Amino acid sequence: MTTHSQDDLKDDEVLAQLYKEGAKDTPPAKLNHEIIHYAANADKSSSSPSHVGSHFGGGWKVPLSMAASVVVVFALLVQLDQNSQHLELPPIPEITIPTEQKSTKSKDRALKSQPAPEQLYEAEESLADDISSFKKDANESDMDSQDADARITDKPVRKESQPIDTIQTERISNKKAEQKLETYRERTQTQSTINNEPSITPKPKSTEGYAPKLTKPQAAGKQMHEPSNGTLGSSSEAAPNEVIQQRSMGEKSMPSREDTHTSSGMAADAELGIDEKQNENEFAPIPVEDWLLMIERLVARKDYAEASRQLVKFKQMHPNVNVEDLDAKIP
Amino acid sequence: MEQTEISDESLMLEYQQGEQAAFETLYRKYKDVLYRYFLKHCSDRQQSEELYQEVWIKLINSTARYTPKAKFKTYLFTIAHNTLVDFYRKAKPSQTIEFEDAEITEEFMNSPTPLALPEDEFTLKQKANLLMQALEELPADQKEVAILHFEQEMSVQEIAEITKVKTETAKSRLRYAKNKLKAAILN
Repeated sequence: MTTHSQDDLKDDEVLAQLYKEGAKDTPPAKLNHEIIHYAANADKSSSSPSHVGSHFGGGWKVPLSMAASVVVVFALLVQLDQNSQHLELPPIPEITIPTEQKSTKSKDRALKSQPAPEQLYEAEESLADDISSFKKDANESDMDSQDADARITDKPVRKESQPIDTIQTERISNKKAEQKLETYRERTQTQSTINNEPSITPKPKSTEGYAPKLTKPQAAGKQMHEPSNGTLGSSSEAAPNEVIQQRSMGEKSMPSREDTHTSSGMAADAELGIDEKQNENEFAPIPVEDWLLMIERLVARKDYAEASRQLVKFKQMHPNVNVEDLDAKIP
Repeated sequence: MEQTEISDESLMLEYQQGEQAAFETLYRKYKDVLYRYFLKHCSDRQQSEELYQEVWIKLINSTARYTPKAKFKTYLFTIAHNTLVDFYRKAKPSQTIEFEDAEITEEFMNSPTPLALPEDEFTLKQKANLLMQALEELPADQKEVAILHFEQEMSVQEIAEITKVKTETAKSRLRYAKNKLKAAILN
């Protein structure tokens, strides 16, 4: 038994030595390199079960979180920048407003400054009264009635392009009319001295632009509020309205241009805006300055007879007014 | 010997902690043995290399789960055995693998002739080739036991642990393998 076991051990040694002699194969170097490389790459990932996820996470979580934070910060900056631009925007439209918008804005402003319809109607009424009174004065004065009409019709007629508030500002009062008459007087005096002839301007067609707007009672009522010089009678109060009414109906309150050519006397009267009826009845309500102006124009035309007659009448009506200058001018 | 085995486990634990050099040391130590293990079982060298590589990959991937309950050598060849069994099952699913004890002849079992190493080198190489041929002709279970025994000088208990069989089974397989190899050399 002992020899058998000893033989077995000896056989094992021989077999082992023969096996080692015959088995000398080794794995290829490429395979060794691949396995070692794989072990090196998988080293950290297989360090511990708890580290498997954390190692993988450590590879991408940190860069991802950094990238996400960068994106968020960038988005916030962009949003803040946009907000700041929005805050700075309001002044920009004022700079870049197109001209049309500006014009509309100015129109809006003009509309806002426009008076209410009641105010507008009141202005028109007062203007119509001014026209009527001015026409009346012109008819009774020595100045050229046609020029006066032209002035009257030119001034107050409201054009579409003209703002309404300008009409309101151009409201004519009796005082303004008197001032205009003075300026007109000076001009006509210079013209008469140069030409020694009154200028004949074409008669305006009519004042229909205003006449239809005013009803007779309204105009009459408005006339009642006019500041009178105390000499106006009931017949003369309606005279301006009558003149407007007659003109609007196509009637001629003054001789036409043809008439002035056929009759020199009538023509002269027409040029002066005087007819017989007016001379008899309607000189009384003429304002003092207009009356004096008319007398001056008669003197300028060397119509001394008429001038002296008017001066006498004036003295009768206004004894307190000093007319020595006119007296001196009339021989 | 025992100190070396402990070293293997220590090396494995070091590699578990991320020490790459520890793995390289273990690899250099077991690469040839493991390579020949597969080379003796598979006639195809390429197939042997694939199985060899697969074992190392399995070891690397299972490093995190490694605990030094047994020797590292036993752990490594257990993986190799399982890989080999899987290979056989995949390669020959219809055939049963001969892991049963082969025919044991009383002649071999009771062979009184002792083996002796040849004196000249030529005869030694001839005998070695005869052994290798006989080893390849052994049944798979006996071949595996013989390889583990002669290559790694493993005990019957270790072989039983690796091959997942009883110690007596491993012992008888080893005995049968030795007798066949001895007979091949003597004849």
